[in-house]
Amino acid sequence: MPRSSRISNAELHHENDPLLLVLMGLAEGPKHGHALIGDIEQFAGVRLGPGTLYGAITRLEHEGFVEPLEPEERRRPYRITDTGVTALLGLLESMEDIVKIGRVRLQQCDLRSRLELEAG
Amino acid sequence: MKKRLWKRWYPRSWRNRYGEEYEQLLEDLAADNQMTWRSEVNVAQTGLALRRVYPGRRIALGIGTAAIVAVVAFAVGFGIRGTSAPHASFAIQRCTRVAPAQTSTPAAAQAKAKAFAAAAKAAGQVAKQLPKGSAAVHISVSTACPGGAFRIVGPVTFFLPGRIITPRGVLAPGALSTPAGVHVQQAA
Repeated sequence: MPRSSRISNAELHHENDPLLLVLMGLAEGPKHGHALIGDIEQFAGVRLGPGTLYGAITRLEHEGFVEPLEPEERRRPYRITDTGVTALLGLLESMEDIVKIGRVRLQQCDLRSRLELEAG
Repeated sequence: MKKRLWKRWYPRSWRNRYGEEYEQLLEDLAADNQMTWRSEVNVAQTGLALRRVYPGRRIALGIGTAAIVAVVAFAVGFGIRGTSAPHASFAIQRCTRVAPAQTSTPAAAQAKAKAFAAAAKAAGQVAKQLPKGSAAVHISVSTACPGGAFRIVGPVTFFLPGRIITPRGVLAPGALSTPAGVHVQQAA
């Protein structure tokens, strides 16, 4: 087990953070490494390197956010745990709050209409 | 990346847990022609990063460093002593009489002293013949002289300039030529 690797909220808040992407990938259902890389590329447009992926899986498993399932031949699928689901929900909600604040501020500054005018 | 080459970068404890599935992933990516040079760099980078956080590797590094320091200190010690030629030294740790001798007369006492000196000399001769790598081996030398029979036990230190000596020397039976009447064996 790693010596110390507490996952901070700040790390997960980054939309391209591998930890967050892996959690989101597993939210759909259990997947093994190769399937995860493809899925993340599809929904986020980010292609994780194999080392990055397994570095993230290692940390998430250590934190109890994901758990391994029985291997299918040599491919081991992972599943998001209840703890992982709770953490992901909280993070997505906080990200939604940030998105809402951003929209409100854009309306306040009337930047949106200005951009629309420029685009038109 | 060639099969199994990646393992060099990763700590053993991590490989024991994730090695099989990780290797399968690399094989899957290679089969799909998705292992670019970027992927290979990514694999190496992650391995190095994991080495920093996995404890087994840190302990091994600590032990390795301590061993290197000890070997260097040992080698430097040789240099400070200025040893110029191979030689062996024999320190008498214990001398026991294994057969009674006449000590009631001055002549008998003198004979005993001569016998002791002969035994010590024999021990020194034996020590010089010890094979390389015989540092700190305890030997037992038995000899019988007119003044009595003695068994001398002590550590043998074998010095070789510029060589690192490991304390693993073993006396093979018949490997040494001993003076007449002298028997050598490795002490317990």
